[in-house]
Amino acid sequence: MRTMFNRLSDFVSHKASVTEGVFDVLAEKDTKYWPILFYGILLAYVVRVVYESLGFSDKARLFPLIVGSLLLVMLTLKISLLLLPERYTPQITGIFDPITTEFEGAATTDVDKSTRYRKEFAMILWLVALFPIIWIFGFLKSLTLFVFLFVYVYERDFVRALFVTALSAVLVYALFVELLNAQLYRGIVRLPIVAGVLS
Amino acid sequence: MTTLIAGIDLIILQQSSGQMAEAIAIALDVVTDPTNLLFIFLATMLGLTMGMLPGMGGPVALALLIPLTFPLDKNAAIMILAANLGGTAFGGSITAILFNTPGDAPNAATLLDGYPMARQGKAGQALTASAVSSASGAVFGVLFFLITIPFIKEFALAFHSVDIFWLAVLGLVTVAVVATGSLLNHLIAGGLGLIIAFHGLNPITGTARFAWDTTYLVSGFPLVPLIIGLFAIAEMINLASKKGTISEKAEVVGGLKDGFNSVVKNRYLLARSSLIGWVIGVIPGAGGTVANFVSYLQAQQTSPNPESFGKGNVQGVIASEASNDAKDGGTMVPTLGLGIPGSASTAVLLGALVINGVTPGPLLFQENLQIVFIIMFALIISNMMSSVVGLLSVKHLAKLTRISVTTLVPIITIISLLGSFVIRSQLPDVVMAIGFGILGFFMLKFNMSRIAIILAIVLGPLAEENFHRALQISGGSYGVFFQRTVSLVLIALILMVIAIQFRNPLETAD
Repeated sequence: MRTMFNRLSDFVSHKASVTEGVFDVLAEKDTKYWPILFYGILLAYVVRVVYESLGFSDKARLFPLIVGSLLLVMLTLKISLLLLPERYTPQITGIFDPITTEFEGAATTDVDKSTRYRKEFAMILWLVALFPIIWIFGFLKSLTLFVFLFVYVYERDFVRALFVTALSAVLVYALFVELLNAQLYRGIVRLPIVAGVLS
Repeated sequence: MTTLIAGIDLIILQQSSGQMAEAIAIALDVVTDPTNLLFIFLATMLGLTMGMLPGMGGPVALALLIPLTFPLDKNAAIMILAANLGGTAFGGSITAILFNTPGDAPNAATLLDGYPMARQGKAGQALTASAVSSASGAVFGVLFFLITIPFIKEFALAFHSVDIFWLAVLGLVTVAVVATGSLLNHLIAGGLGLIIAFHGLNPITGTARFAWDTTYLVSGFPLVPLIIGLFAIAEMINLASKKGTISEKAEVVGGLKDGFNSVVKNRYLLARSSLIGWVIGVIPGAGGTVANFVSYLQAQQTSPNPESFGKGNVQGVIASEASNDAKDGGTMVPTLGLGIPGSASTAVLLGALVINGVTPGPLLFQENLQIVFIIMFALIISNMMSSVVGLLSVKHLAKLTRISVTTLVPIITIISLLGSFVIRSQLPDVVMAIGFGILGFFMLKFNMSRIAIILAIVLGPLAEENFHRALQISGGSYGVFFQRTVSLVLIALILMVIAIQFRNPLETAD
């Protein structure tokens, strides 16, 4: 079990030699390609919305068509500007920018780009993987497992992971089950031993 | 005839005063209830604690509290959220002074002199000055807001459907223009928010739009998971990539009396900074960061020793903290009076008002005036509580900053996901929260305003509904949008806001 956890930790930590190169390359692509992809997805979504609006009644489609059309123009403009070389890109910024941008550098802490990318990507993966686990096993089991794995993978301290997991479970139970009287989803798979402990 | 008109005016004034007195009485009744005072204390402490942790304060704390306050009466729920808002400001200044790391962007100006003071062994003095300025600024800000209430109330009565439509457009344009960063990005965010708002049942035609054959989207995108995703989960993704802990150790010694005396000695600076913070808070979307830095700059420029700023001058701490808290009172003017948020936190508060069935904007002052006073009283009480308790327990609170992000992130994440589920007990709400969390993270990364998206989601339906209502009243004539004086003033303001933006020469990147 511990070996399995350690291997998982290695994967998500910066010691993984396979992923290091990949994230360095992705970090270099940061300035252009990720924003273009992001705005491209938004553009596709808005195209779908505008197309569907055409099938509504006059009243129902008026606002979606107006807003959708304007948004299509803005997104197309944005993607075009991103594709231009940087020296041709006009910058129209907020009216208070001259005051705040001078000082904002003092307020940030950061890691190197490649590490940051790796961690952000990992966090998104954690979240995306979490939902199907919740769906299968229910909230209490999934979330305690998530907390334990997350803390163990990043801090490599079994006792600490156990402590934080226990603390989270108590917090969740006190806030949501006792205080809010919430009926938490129990999953499609009921594990008898675990269910007996956690329910 | 003159006597009759004077009599009617007197009756209206008496009714208006009577309504205000009744609203104040209800509000006082709510905030002085022992159980509610305990809630205020707990919400303040939560705000204070989370305000200390970068990425956790303001909108995140509010987003997490919304589901927890859902079962409560709307007065109590909004009171708790306002108290939380009041607690975060001082929390952020603690880490700014002790660790050179602001808890939230609006505390960034505090560290410019607060941290040098701490390094000179004057952390206690800096913290005390910050606490006293913070509480005083909050009181000033709320008092200034109190003075404007009768005007806002009268102003609100003048609004018809067509005016509310133009007001919504003004709000959207202003937030996009005023937010820092690229105008185009923020306009896209606003447009995206409107598109999101159009999903679901259309009150005008009674049909569901963009439901895509699912029953889930018939009622539109749910607001609570959306807010939790955009603010809390997005911040957790961002925070997961940061360094391990904020600090290792902090020394806080003495200086309480010196700190208090320095505020008394600089009382005119305190008042001036509070006024600046309040005025900037009134500008929709300007936020606390702008208020702090403008106030800091004016303190530096009016000081006989401007070169001492940045090296441990307590006036820098007083100016930034006073304005940071006074701005909360100022942001309530556009947020409550016009339905246009003054900052990210008030954008979330606006969403919370809608979730609790309270319509922000002109109607709030006619239908739920007690909510306005509840928010004011909660802000005053929570600011005082956070300053007193924060100052007395700062040595212990500072230890919280030694908790690693890899411990905080999973805890906040699970609370967020559970919070998004418990409102409607629908599992797809968890998917929504995760989805909007990822969207919110990329918006953060590519500098798109999340305030604009929330504002658009809140104001979009209002704009559309009032647009169609105005058309119905006018019998389909579009001329109705350009006839009323209030409408023309709002249109002029919209054009002015756009013109201000384009007055600045276009800058090309090197």
